[in-house]
Amino acid sequence: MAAEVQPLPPIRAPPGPAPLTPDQAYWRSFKNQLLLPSPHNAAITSITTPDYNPAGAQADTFAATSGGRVQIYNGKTRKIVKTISRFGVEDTARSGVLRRDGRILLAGGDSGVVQAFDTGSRAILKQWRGEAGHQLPVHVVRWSPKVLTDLMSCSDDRTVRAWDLTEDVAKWTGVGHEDYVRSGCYLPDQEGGMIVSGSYDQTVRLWDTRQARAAMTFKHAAPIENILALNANIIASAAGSSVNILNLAAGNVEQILHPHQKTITSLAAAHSGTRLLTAALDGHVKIHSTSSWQIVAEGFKYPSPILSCAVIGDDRHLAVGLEMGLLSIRTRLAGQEKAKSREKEKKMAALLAGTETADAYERKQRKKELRQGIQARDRGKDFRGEGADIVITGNERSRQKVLKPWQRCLREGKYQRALDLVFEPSQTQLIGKGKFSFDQEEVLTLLTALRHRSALRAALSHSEEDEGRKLVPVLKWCLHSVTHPRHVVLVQDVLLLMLDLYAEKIGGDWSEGGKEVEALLKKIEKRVRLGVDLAQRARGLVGMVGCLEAG
Amino acid sequence: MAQLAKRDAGVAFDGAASDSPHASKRQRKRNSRKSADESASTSAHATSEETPLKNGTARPPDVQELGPYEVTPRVPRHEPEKSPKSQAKSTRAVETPSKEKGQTIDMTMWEDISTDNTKALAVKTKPSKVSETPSKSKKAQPVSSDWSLSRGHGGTFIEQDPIFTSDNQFLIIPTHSDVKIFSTKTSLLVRSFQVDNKSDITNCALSTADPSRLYVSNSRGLLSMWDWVSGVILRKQELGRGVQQVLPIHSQDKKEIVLVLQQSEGKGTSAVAFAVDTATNQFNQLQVVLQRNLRLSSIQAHAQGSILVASARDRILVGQSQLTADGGLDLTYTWREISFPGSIISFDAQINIGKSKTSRKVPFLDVAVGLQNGAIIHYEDVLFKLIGREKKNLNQDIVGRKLHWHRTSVNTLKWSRDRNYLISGGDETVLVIWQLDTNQKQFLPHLSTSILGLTVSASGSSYALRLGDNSIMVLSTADLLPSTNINGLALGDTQHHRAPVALHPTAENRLFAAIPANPVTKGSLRGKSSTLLQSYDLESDLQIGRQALTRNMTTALNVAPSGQSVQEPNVTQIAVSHDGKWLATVDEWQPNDQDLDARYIEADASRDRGSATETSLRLWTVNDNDNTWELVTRVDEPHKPGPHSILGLAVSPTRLEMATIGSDANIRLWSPKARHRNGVAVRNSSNEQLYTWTCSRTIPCEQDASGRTEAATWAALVYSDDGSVLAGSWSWQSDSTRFVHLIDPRTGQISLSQPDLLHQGDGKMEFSGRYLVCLSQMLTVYDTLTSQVTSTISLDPALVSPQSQAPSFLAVNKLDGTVAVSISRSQKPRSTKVLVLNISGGEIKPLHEISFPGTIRSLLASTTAPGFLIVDDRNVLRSLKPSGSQVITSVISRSLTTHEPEQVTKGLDNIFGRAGVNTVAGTDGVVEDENVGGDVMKQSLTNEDATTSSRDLNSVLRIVSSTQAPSPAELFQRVVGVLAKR
Repeated sequence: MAAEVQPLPPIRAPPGPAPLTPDQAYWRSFKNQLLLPSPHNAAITSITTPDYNPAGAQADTFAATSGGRVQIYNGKTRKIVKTISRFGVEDTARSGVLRRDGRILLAGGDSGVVQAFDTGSRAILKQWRGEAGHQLPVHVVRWSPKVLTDLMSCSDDRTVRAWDLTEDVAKWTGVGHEDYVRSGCYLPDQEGGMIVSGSYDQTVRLWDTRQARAAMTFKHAAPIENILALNANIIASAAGSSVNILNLAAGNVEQILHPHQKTITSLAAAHSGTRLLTAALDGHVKIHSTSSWQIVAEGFKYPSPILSCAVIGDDRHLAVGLEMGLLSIRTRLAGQEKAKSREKEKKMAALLAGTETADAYERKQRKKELRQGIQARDRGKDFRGEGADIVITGNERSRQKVLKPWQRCLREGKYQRALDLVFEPSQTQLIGKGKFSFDQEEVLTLLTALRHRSALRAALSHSEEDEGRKLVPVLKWCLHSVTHPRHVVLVQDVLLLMLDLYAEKIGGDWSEGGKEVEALLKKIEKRVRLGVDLAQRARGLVGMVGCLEAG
Repeated sequence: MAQLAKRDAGVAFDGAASDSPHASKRQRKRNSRKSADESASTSAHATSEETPLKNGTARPPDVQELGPYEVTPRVPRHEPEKSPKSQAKSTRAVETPSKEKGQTIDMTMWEDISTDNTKALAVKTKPSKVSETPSKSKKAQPVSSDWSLSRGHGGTFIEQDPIFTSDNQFLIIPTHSDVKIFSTKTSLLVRSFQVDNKSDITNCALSTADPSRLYVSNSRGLLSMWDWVSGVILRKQELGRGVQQVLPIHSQDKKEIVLVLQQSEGKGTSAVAFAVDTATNQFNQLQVVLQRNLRLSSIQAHAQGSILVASARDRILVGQSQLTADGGLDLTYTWREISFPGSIISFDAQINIGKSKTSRKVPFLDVAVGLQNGAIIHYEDVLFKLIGREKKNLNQDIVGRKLHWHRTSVNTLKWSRDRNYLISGGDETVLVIWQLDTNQKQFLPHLSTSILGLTVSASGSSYALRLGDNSIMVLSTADLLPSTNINGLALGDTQHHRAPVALHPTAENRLFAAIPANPVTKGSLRGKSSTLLQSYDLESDLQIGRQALTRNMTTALNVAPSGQSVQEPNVTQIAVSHDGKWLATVDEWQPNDQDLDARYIEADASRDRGSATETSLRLWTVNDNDNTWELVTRVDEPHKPGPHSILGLAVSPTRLEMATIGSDANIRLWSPKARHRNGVAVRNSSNEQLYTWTCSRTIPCEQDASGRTEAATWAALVYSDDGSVLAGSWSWQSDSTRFVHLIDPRTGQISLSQPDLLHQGDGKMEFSGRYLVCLSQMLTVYDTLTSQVTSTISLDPALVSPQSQAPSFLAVNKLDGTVAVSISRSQKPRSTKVLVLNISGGEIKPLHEISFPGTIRSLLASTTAPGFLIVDDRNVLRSLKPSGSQVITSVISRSLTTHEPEQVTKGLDNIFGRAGVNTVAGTDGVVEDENVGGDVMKQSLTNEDATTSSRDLNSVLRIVSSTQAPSPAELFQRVVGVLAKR
């Protein structure tokens, strides 16, 4: 049987070490930074996202607290939806947090007040203050992840309290901290009964709300600035410039991380709990893996100390609150949005480069869509009929791939033409790679194939009138690749062949493009000399090392 | 023994023709041993030789599947004058190494070991010189015949177009030794029969009188007549001189006239007519029809033999005679000639009946001739024109129509049955169909190998193509789709001394061979490098699969612009891992010399030019779905670039590990590594872990390489049976000292370097248990535990390098530890000796020896059973097996599960007793043997308590197809093997 013609397999260089790990690439895709100034440039002390709501509507908003107000942003559009500023004149809002249905916002204050607001009307639903409430600033309030009406608060009066939305008096008060309690959260998966708090007395305490005393105490080396429950067992606590990973089940410290130079102010979980983000006063956000606890991506650098940081939605935004009063929101595009934005970019590039008019571009796009329309029209054509007794299949052959012009020329033995075609600049490649007007992979494939077919000489021997013009792109490619160790053998072959063919011409009369050819040859010579020099030095070094080893 | 004698009788001509002293010695021994048997071997020979003559339809000895019994050592003719010389040489050969030893010891630092060894060697060599040269050793221990060489399978098809039988049901295709009949429906072998195992079949032709009658000619001048339907020989006729072609031309009332193309004295060729009586099968020479001082290449007959067309080098001869009134043929031909500017490669003639209806007497004869330069010249009504030219006494040539598409020679050219088309094929791998009326051409391209021969079936509905890769393909003329594929083993000549062949380590009878695209084609432009992998089933003689191992020029232009052929990479080594799941191949590509001119100046040494060579090591994993190999890893330039940079490849018998030995004096170990992408294991769609192979260790042998700039030319590398030791050795052109290094592959440490085990040049090593067997100009057994050479045999210097250019082979069967050694010479007379040895206890004990003309391509140890496989230079596969009729006394006792020979022996003793042997002894001929086999089978079956698991028997009796059934004898052995296992 006649063998099927297969297209030439492209020459791919062996895979080297990847320049980007997937994590780095992933976190690099958080782009499109939006910098939102807060009113009066007050520092943004807290950014919170509502918990996951398994039962009802999920809030798609998040709250950022700065100065005397809490601002609620839309998670999709990144725009401010509501601003709640009903705090006292002297008061500073703290830790504005939305309930998981997004309907009630909870906030503490420096006056010791804890308030619940209706996010729709911005009315105060409840206030806990005075005798029954905290006497000193409340820095943390949190909604219970399980019970809609439960909440907790941590105050500088060294207590942690749990409240019911409907009652005026705290359900439970945890007493034991010896200094300000500046961080705290509910433990997930514990029916809302377990609370963790971190205090300036350098301890993290685990509370069971059925008991007055702490169930567990972890002593740290520095005041606790932030605390994050990664799951029911693992808690990350930020003490000074280190992060301590506490294992509740084992009752020990699993790991101590020192990712930052300055005090870590904020912790966040991302990538469905497999990555831990740390943000510190040194302006860095760093990303750790929760399995190896290594830094997997260098993250981001901000121009000012970071006070708060949160990952919003399914890794959609990274919101960072800065001390200088800016809220930075970086957004990761995925799927169709990504394609759309890339398309937009391409279009802009094309228009800017002036290679295409908007019209031509539109036309091309429409053509593309039409092609998809053809696909749609053909859909279902391969339906074979459910009830058919006999299905007659034709002589099925796999459809041949359409060869590129240079590939076709190679097949037909027109080697010169193939070489010309592969160096011919085409629109799309021009846009993709600014510096070179050809596809490195294709050039390599063709030149290797020509070498394997003993046709390199034929492909490079051009007729007198256009030799200069046609040699220029080949020489340009040689100049680019000559220092590349993987292609040295091939480039050497091409160059030596060219010298062999055109040696008499050099310095003599060329047709058009001759000057450029000679200039390129000079450049290549320079580059080769440099390479030889380097190689000699390396050789010398090897000799030295050999001497040392022998001695 | 009596059994053996009878077998000798069966293949009488073997022994009768062997005139060597060895053979006769053996014969004598046998004769003396079977004194009870009244039929002495000589008389047995005589009778059997006469039988076919006396009664024409008597059972032919060759048709019988003699199976493994037909062995009897065949001894080449050159043997007598060789043996005394060989002895004289061997003494010299033994003395030289000991001289060298004195020098090497000074240079090396292993004095203590080497002095010990030299002593041991010196002590050992002296007796060995006397007693252990192959010729002598037979005296010491008689060659026991409990080893048998099976009948050859496979083989290369001869240069003849395949023959369709009249009903299109079968194809008759001769190989050099057998005539094979294949079914066109199933592509399977139906029958094969052997004419003579001494000479080559040259031609076959179907009788015109009786379609079931086949004439077979051979190179010794034996013309035989067969009934191919039943596989019975009808008649044998000695014609004296070698027959080139046999052609039945005319038949009339039980008399057939057969034309035989024979070489006559001098350079010429003659065509002689014989009359064959179809009733009595008598041959009568009639007269010489044509006698020329030319080499006639072939002849065709038309119009009931009244027109003959023959081709010589550059001319076509057309002979014309008359049919007598009663339909007989007048054998006086008038010959006329057409000459051509180039040499004729192929031609075909036809009588144009459509035009012949006119009253003209001279028939319309059309001739088409394919020339070497690719042109086809087509003459219409050539006979009339020739006669006309003759009458007018003109000297000008008659003019033909020239059709030129082929680039190179037109290998085959045929008329279609309807006379409207010419079909031609050549090395372009394109089948061209010329429509003569319209000047249109139709192509069937990319057949992947050159077309050598072509036959159009009688009905015109199919073409049978004989292709350059030793295969036959039948195409339907309607859609040009293949309906039948017959593939033989397609190993080509390898410049490299080791044919890239490997046996599957676990599956039975599976052979992997790296084959070129055109192994059979002579002087083809393309495809002498092995680029394809053929997996071949030895049992059923079928190709299982074929795939490309490297890039190739199957569908691309294979001629460079400068006119030279494009080089393809050449696979030089293949190896299969111990579990049969991985395949390693090494391929090499060298650019054409002209392409390198630009890179070098005259002063550059040719050695430097080699650096343009591209070498790669490829590792493949088996895809269980379609039994193909998938490329997993390609390592470019695994060793220092240069020509033949990888000299050897070895696989560990216990672990997934491969080792390559390079000309840069490095050994590299390769092992699989689970593929990870950023810490996550990479799995395929069926959730299996994917692997990549990496170099796990590089073992440099600096002491070998120190102070050398040149690359090693030869190297050998082998793993020990348990994979704990790796033995490697290099040989340099400039230095005759050669070390064998024993290396621990786990640490990469060279634990021992031993000189003088191998000579300079091609050397082979194998481990057999604790012993390292080294084969170069002598065979040395080295005990790796005591570091001593335990015995040495010097080999016939005419058969080993440097005198012989042919490779020698060494194989060790891992199941019973037997060693097979083959040495051969490639100059004429070509001959090969294969020795089977047992080296338990370090002593070399010859078990069996065979020798035959021709060289071999490979000698492999069976992986699943005791025995060896021999692939000869005509791709005939023979297995050399212990037949189990005698107890193998000295089999290395090993804890292996299968120990067939012993079991078979046991079983035979149980079954036969003495009586069994007697019955066999009393019988005569091979047919009876079958009966006896049957009897014994019945006996044994009744004797057993029917507990023999039917499953085992089933597995033995399950045969691919009825046509692939083994010979009764072989079947018998297998059944006995199963029963004996109990």
